[in-house]
Amino acid sequence: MKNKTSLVLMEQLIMLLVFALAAAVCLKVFAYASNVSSKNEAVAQAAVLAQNCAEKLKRSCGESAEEYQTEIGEWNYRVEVLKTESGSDVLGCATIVVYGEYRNSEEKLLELSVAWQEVDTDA
Amino acid sequence: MNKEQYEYKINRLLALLLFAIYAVCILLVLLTGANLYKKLTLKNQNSYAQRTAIQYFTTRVRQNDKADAIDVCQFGEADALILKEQIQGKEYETLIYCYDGYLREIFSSSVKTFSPKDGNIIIEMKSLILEKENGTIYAEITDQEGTVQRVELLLRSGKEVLSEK
Repeated sequence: MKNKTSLVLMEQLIMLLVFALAAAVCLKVFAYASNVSSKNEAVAQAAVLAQNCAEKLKRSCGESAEEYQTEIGEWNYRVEVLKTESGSDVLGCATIVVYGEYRNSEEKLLELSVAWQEVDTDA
Repeated sequence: MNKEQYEYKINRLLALLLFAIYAVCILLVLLTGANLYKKLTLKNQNSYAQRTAIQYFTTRVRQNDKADAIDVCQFGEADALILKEQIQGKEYETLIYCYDGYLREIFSSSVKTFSPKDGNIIIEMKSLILEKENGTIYAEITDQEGTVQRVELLLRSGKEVLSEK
């Protein structure tokens, strides 16, 4: 009788061990899913910020090219404008880069190239 | 009760206790998973609604970007985007506005005869604030969760119109 009880106890312990391993994997996957979802949301937000910045650049013909920061939800965004050479006098070019900071780690979320027609001030 | 019987009972109790711990752990992991899945679905749904609303709004503005074809007006108590177009010599207007928790749209040659509740439902939205300044449309879109998105749309036809005046 004693042997049978010990066997049940052993079986339960093995069961708990296997479960602990499976639960650890599951929790890791949950955390990963949460991070991926949060990043996807941030990339969508970064696209809107980059689009707004592109509209500002086109409106001002590249004059409003300063870097700015904004906090939306849990993410802190930094929008950077890098002017590039288009190879033409009538075409202005820039690259908008949006960085996102989440839990003290910053990463590049999006890069968008933008071009506009330069206004001829002599005309 | 002799010692052997006592040990047997303790062992059985221990097995039962282990099983209870196992059951509670399974329940906890299941609940955490279900809760997280619910949160993610809700988050994705909101994100989708917001993205769709912004894309819809942007596309409608870009499609109708002709001189004097886009304006902002009041429709009922809400701000509305008004898109004008000529079809076979007759002027038609499209109104895009937010009413009763939805982004709505009306297309007619006489939109003023309609009330805000008559519009076709496009997507869920809490509020839409619009402003037009220096040839740029500024839209502030608030989703059902209260998240605010600001969109700026420079009217491509605006500059030419302004320079002509």
